[in-house]
Amino acid sequence: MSRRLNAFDRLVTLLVALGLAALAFFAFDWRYGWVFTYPSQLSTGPVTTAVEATWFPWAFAGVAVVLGLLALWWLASHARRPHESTIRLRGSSNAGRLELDLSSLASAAADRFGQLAGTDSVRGRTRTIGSHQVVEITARLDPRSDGPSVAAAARTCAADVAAALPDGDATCRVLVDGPRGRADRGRTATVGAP
Amino acid sequence: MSSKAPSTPPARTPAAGLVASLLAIGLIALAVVAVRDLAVAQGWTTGSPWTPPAVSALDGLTANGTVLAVGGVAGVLALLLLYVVLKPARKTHGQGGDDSTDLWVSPGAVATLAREAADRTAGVRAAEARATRRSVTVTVAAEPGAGDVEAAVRASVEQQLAGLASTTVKVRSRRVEEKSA
Repeated sequence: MSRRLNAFDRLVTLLVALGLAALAFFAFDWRYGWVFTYPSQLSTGPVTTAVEATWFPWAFAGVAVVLGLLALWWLASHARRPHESTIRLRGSSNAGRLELDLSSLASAAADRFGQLAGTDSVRGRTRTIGSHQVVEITARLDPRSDGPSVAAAARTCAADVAAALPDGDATCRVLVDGPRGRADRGRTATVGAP
Repeated sequence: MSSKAPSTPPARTPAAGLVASLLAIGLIALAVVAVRDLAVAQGWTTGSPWTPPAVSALDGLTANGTVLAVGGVAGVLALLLLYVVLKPARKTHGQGGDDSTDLWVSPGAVATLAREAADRTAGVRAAEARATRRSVTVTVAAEPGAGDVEAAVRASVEQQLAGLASTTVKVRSRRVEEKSA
C-alpha cells in the first residue's frame, strides 16, 4: 500500500470517527441538555418532503453512483501493488530505446537466492516503495539452512541487481520468513522429545 | 556499490486500510440502494422504495433509551476508529544483514534457525524457540550430566544467526531426569 493511500485511509477513518463522536455527543446532549436545547421530538417534515419529491431519486442515485464508483476505485487501489514493470536504461536515444524488464530481473534474482541459501520456496517481484523501485525477494527458509549462508546470499543478490542496474534505478530487498505451516505469528519452533 | 533503498520496514496492511475497505463497500451498497429506489420510482421494477420509509421512521423520535444506546455505540465506535487512525502498521520483520544489504528477517525465521542450532548442540535433547523482532528465547531440555548447556546453546545460536539477525539471545534450560532402571 502506498503512503498516499495509507494517509487517505487514515484521514477518511478520522472523519468517520469525528462524525460518530458528534452523533454520540448530540444523542447524549439531547437527552441530558448539557450544552444546547432541542425540541422534545425529532421532526423530519422538510426531509420527508424532499425525499418524496420526484427529483429526489435521480439526485440520490446520481450522487450515490458517483460515490460508489469512487469507492470502487478506492477499493481497487488497495488491491493494486504499485510497481514499474520495465525501466528505461541509460543509452536510450532517438535511435532506439533500451528497457529492462524488472520482473525478469526479480525472478532471476530470486532463483539465484534460492540456489545460494537453503529455502523451501522463493519468489521475486518488483515494488515501488516511496519513489524507489525495488526488486523484492521473499523466501521461506529451509529449517536446515544457516544464517551466514542466507546473509551471504542476500549480499550476492544485492550485488547482482546493482551490477544489472549500475545507475541505481532499482535496488534489492530480501525478506526472509520461517517455513510454511509453522505459526510465524506464534514464532515458536519445537523439536525433540518434551 | 548499490545505493540502499529507503529502509522502510515491511509491515502489515494498516488497520485503517481494512476500515477504509469496509467504508468503500458501504458506499457501494448505498449506490445499489439508490439505483434500486430510482428504478422503483420510475416503474422499471416492482417493489417499494426504501429511502422514504427509512426517513419517516425517524419522525417523532424522542431522546429515549434507544437513542442513548445508539449514541453509546457510536461513541465506542468513534474511540475504536480513533485508535485505528493512530495505530501504526504492525511491522512483520526485523532488520538483518549489514549496511550493504536491505535484508529483513521475520521472527519465525529467527526462531526456526535458533531452534535448529540449539537442537544440534551437544547435550540437548529437545529445543524450543520463541522470537520477537528484537530477541529470541531458546528453551532446551538438557541431557542429565551435560555440562554448561546454556552457554553452548547460546554460542551455537549466535553463530547460526551471525550476519543475519542481530537479536538478543536468551537461553533457558531444564534437566531431563534420568529414568531409574
